[in-house]
Amino acid sequence: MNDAIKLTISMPRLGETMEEGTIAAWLIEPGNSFKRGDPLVEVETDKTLVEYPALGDGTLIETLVTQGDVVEVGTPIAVIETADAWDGGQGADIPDQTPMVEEHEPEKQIIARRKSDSLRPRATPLARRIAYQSGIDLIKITGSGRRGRIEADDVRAEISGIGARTRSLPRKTGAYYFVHGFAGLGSNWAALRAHLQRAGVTTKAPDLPGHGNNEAEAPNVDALLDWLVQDLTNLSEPVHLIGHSLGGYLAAQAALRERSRVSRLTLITPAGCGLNINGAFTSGMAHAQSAGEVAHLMRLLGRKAEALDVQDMTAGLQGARLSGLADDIARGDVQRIDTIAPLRTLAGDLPTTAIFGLNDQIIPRSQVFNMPPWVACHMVDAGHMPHWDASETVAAIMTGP
Amino acid sequence: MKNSTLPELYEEMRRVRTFEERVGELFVRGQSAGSMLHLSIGEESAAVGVCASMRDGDTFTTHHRGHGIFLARGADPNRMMAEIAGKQNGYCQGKGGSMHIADMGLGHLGANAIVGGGIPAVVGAGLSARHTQSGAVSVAFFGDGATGQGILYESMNMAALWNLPVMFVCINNQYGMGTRIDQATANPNLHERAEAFGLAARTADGLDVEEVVDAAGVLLDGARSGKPAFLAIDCYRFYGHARKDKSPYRTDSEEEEGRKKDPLIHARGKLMASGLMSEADINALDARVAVEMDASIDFAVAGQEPQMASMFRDVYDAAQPEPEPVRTRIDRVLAQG
Amino acid sequence: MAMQEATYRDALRMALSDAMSFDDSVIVMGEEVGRYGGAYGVTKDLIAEFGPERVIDTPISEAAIVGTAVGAAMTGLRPVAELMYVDFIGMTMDQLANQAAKIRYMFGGQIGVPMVLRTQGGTGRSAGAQHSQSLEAFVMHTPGLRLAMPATVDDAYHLLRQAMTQPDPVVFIEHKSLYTMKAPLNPNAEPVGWGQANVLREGDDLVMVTYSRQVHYALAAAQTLQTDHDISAAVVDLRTLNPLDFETIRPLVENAGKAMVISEAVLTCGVAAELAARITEECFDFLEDPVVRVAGEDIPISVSPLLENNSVPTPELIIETAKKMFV
Repeated sequence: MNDAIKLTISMPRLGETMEEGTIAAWLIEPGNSFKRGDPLVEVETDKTLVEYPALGDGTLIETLVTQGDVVEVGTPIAVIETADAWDGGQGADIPDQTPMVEEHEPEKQIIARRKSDSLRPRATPLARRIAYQSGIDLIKITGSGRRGRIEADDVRAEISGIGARTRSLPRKTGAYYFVHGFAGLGSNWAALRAHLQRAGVTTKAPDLPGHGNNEAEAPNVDALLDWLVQDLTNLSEPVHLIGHSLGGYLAAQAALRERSRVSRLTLITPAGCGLNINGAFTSGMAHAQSAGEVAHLMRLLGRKAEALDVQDMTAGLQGARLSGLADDIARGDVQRIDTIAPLRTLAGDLPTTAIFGLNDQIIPRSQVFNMPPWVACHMVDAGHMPHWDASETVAAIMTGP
Repeated sequence: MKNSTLPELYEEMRRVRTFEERVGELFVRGQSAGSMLHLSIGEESAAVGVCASMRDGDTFTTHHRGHGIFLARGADPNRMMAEIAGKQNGYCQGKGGSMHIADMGLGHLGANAIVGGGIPAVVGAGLSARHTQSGAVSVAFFGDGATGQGILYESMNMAALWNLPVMFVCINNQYGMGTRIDQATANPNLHERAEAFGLAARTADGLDVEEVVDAAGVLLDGARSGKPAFLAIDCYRFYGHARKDKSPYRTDSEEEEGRKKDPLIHARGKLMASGLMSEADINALDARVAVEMDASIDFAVAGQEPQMASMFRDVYDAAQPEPEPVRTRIDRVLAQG
Repeated sequence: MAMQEATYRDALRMALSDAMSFDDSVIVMGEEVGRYGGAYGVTKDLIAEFGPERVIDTPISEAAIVGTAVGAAMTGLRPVAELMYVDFIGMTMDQLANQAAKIRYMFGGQIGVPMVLRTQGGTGRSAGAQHSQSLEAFVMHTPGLRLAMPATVDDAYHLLRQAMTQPDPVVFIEHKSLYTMKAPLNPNAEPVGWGQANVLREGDDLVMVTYSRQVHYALAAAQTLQTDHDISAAVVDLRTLNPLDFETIRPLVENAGKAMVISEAVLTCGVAAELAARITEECFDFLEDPVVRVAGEDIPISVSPLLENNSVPTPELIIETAKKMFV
């Protein structure tokens, strides 16, 4: 046995989460002795009462805190006299257990945060990785994926230069959007749409202003273009844009204005690709007064045109809705609109296909030679309406590589 | 049977009590792993009495108040205390602790922190014993709280149905946490439930360890020959449910009355009355035990913390890949590209 | 034994029978596994072959069936317990998740629990909300439990044999609509390894990661996508969900850039969610589309075949989803 020594005992940590405790009661009076295991003090913590038993025999000399005191862990609470090794010979202080959590705040580390940037382009992880590795800024790239998302192929095309985008996979192309020509109707596309819808794609073919059921008027070509651009921006995803004749001009201009809305461009016997046009047709359609006149003009369109029900068309033409438009397109046999310019500006950034009719009596087939080199051109056995005369061929060209 | 003379039984009970007292001290010193420490002071006769009647090769499971049972089956108090302290040199390398301690060498199939959770395992061990004709009995130790769990009745039914070498031992310390048995059950004659399942069943008074030894011996013999058994042992839990519970739900007078049912004092009286041991002999024995148990604290305190790397070990068999640490995974994922 | 035509059920039964002949410590226990022959007939006549001591009919006590298997496995037997429907797993969850799964770890690696819990799940029998669930996530969410889900006749045999040799507890979930599926089976063939996924179809455009019955739906869908839509889809049968063989999935997804995870279990917090998260984390730089989960609706299963069949992925839904990934 050692000689008795005086020790200060401290508030123990009675449980992992205890930071402080309330002295509920002293169970030994100062001056009294106790045996190992006798409860010395009752501590209230976490709504429970805990006894602190003596860790050896001894005498309570003095209490340093009284009933009701709230005491932090480690605070001296009493002086005792004991001859026993109170705590493995370490002295009276209950070893302060190092808590599991960091006690002091860790050094602040400032981590640069990427600013939220609404201009951050939409791109797939793979596209980002390739762009990052190649040092290409995604901002410069127009996506061909869903909702204009930049895909790996878009970035690869950017890397390999102009022309690569024509490799765009047809099945990745979004819905088809058809733009009819001057004096045409959305329903002109029925045969072609039937071919394409069998492949499971969605198609849209509206009547343009001044035409058919579209109640908006079209005093000039710009009004048509504005309407088309507006309609494209309402769509949820980019489209394969197909324009016929005047619609070809509109489609090319619209693609230029809303590049991200268009994933692919197909121009069928497009207007605006050369100097000449059959002025008799345009002005004739604009001013036609009878079904007979229309029927004569329709025969200019090609071999399937006769099968068309002209009643709808003449109804739509009443009131010379199209005279202003006709003047905008052509004066006599000379075209006043230019489709080549927007194609040049797009400069191969958009996969573009053009289809000309071998027997076109409205727009001379030779204008195919005016097309920029990156446009894939096809000459088909048809008149001005290849999508009527050779709808299967046109569908195959449109969905092909 | 070993340790079955009264001096031996007394010594074993004293070892259990002193060990439990030291567990309480370990907590106050801030050296236990957590506060989920459930002491069996007052219940020593149950652990010691039944274990004295068990044989080498017998297996058992315990509840969360099972330190005494394991010790009475031959556990090393040093490794037990180290386990309770969460140290690497504990029985389970610091992963199990007070409530999940086990040792296959001693037939301890595991302490359990789910009330009733360890009971059906003895039915399986009974199937194994019969399959291999090992002659072993498997014993489930649990508290009166477990009589509220359906798994006990599923297990008793199966053991009886298949005549397995199994014994169910209910240490009735009168309390399921803070709820006294009469507040939790309409019929506190627990052995009657077991009888209804076709088990050999009786209740022994935990005051007298020799009565427990006798009852357990008869029932274990029966179980070994294919007559599964149930033994309830009446005793009183001297202290709160866990180390931090000072039993505010019961009165001082009830505790005072309950603590009179002390199997150690009872055995001490019998030893002196019969002349088997003098008071001085007993005091010397107590002091010897205190030294042994003090040493267990030193052993535990000196023990190493587990290695961090051991954290991912033993989720699966050692030959299998260890689970990937979250940090490693995050680093790998973010290091791409 | 040479190649023979067998049903999924036959293959499971053969696996049990062969294992029991080979290893005397294998026992089969569960509700109706003996005289009745198993609710789905998997253990038919096993009791005649091996006797009631090894093919044990139990009371309807799911928790104790699993608990007994745990104790038996810890003391030298190799129990194969049957849980009649995975829907009853809730009754056993303490024994499965708190005991079987944790014993090795809690006890510092002293002992394992080499047991198999055979059960079956899934839709297709108008069995209603309490007998048609796909609860594999409960198991996969518990470290310590292995999880195998055979899709093919071959795996019904080989995967079960492999499960019965594992050192750790295996939950083996069969699909109730596959029991009558027939295919050639060679019990002596070298099987795909335990823990390895099986690439059943190669494909460059899209990877379908799936397991159990949805493997067959994915294969049918992949065929249609190829012939009708020129989309080339790979199909991966995971076979085991724990261990999870990500290394088979990774190169396929890195190649295709698009992945779809197909599971019959409800979508939210399901196995599909875990798989999608892993693919997204591990293959992020190679993705050209979000990883899509084609999973069960977040609703209970109806008894009406119409409602039931539309509550879980169908080949049509898989095709439709795949097509949308290429528009």
